[in-house]
Amino acid sequence: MNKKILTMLLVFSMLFTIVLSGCKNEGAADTNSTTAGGSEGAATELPENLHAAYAAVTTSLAPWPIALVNSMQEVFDENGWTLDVYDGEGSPATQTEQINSIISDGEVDLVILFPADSEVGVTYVQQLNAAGIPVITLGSDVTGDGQSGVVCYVGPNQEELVSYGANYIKDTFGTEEELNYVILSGWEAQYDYVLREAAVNKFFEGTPYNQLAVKYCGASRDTALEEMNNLLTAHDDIDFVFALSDEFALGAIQAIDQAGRSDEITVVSMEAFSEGISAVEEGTLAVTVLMRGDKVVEKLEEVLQALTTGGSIDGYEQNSELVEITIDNASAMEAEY
Amino acid sequence: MKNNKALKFLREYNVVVITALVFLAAVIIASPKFTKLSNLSNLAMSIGTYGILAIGLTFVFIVGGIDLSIGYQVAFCGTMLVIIANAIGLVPALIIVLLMGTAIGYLNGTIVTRLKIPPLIGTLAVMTALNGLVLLLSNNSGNLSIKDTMFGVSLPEFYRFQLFGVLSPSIIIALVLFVGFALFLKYTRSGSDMYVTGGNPEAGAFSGINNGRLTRIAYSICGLCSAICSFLLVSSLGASTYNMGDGLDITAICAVVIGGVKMQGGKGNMGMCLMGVATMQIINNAMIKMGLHGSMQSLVTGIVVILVLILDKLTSKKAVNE
Repeated sequence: MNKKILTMLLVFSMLFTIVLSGCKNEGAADTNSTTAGGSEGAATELPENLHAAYAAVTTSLAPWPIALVNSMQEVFDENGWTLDVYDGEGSPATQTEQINSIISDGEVDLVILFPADSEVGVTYVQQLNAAGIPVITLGSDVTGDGQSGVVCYVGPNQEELVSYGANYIKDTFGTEEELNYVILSGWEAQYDYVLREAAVNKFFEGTPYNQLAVKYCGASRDTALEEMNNLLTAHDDIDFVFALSDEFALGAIQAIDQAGRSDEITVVSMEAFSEGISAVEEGTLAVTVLMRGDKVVEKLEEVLQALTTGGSIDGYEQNSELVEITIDNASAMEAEY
Repeated sequence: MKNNKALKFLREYNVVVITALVFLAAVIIASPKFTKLSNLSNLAMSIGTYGILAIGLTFVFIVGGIDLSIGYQVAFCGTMLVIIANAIGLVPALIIVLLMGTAIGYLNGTIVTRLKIPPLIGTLAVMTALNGLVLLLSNNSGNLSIKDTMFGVSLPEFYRFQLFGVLSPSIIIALVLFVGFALFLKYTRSGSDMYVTGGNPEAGAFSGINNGRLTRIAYSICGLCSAICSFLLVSSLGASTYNMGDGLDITAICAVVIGGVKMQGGKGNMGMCLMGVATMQIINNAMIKMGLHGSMQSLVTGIVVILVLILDKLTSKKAVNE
């Protein structure tokens, strides 16, 4: 009987605390409503002593996001701004809890978002806008529905990223001969991969190139290796592989090498981390494209400096520079990670 | 004498004490962010959502079983909910998915009771099959966003809606299930027989209790709760994602164990389940407030589970010696 009383007391005290939360909503914004559009409705003037939250798909599981967060911390320290970092660990559910936490804290002036899932990211943007918090997407954007709620996207131009590999293929093989190719992509739900895939299709439209398959490898070289093995078994006429990240390219190269078909199949890629550049130097990877995290953050810094000094930014897409890496310049290039 | 009294107190109230201590620690360490009223509201919502999953698992534990497939039940039901809802509407999709979840639970129960396959192995096999189905349905790593609305608002808005400024759908649904199933366990014949099925199945069989039927009912309830949880998770995300079930089985098992529900069967109730879930979510929430990495959260949760088990072992040992 006493146990029941104690349990009931504990439960009621917690419930009472929660009831108080409902009665006295401490200025936390009404998240039940959705505002019309971020860049129009949300504040794009930021305070000089900026306090931002960086909600990232991951800050530890893949090299590109690691490079981003390292550079961001330096830039924020230099400018006297405050940065809270949230590692989504690749999980939309985790990132959702973190976004809820950011909103309930009510402390930040801005959220910089690298969404774990570009569709779910639209929900985050709507919730944050409703709470009066502007959003800048970094590295990967949310899908079209949510972009009206975002101040700007800072990151590489995905179409430009693909153009180097696509032009290499066209210049090398010409556009008269029929060729077969496969695409190795990442997370289907991530908008940067969606855009890259669309760009490949766009660049090869009107050519006699046949797309045999698109395989999704998450963030894993092992998955890319496995998928490539399956593709090599199913198709004996693959001419080139368009990998949408060096991570997948390296898996594909390994599979092709094991199958003894390195002379038959060309691999092009992007993102250019150190092993990718080495593969270009060795001649196993034809092209990769350097998209440096520190350059992306430099662009972010420009944007934030404009917004914290009453200035404005020009355009939704704020793109960072890209560098094509081929065998001609690979030895001179230094990878960021 | 004093030691015996203290041990007796701990043995009887251990889960209540642990929950209170964890709450107090969170208040001290993670304040003021933790005690912010809007955060406590978010905390209540997550307790509601994950509590539903734990309610289902409690039934399975009471009958002496285990279900490793609950995470992928959630993912599968969530995926099917979105696919069907985008085709024929949310309400019929919800009905179908609730039946589907119950059927998967019944399948687990059948595998365990009729095929006599150990629950660990049987539910592991179902988990693997569901994982494959989810990847297949979501095209190997995609997500599916839900286009339909609930009562005229988008699902994320529905999920965050608060009746009287307090009660969100997840809290309301969890409370209804909690009270309903608590009454079922306490006041119905089948409910009380479940404890016998889990605690002493041989005695149950001699008494004419149909252990197999009650076990299948328990697993079916677990499947139903997984389906309900999937609806709430899809609502919170606005989509189903292929990995939305990852780690949910461990989360639910830890919550139920912390709550003092015995894995051997024959002991547990909705109150214990609620305490366990509350403890887990308080830890999770406080860790986020403190800006700690997810791996740190897992470490702390693991330590709490071990401490609970040690405490329970020690107090049980002392009781036997007395």
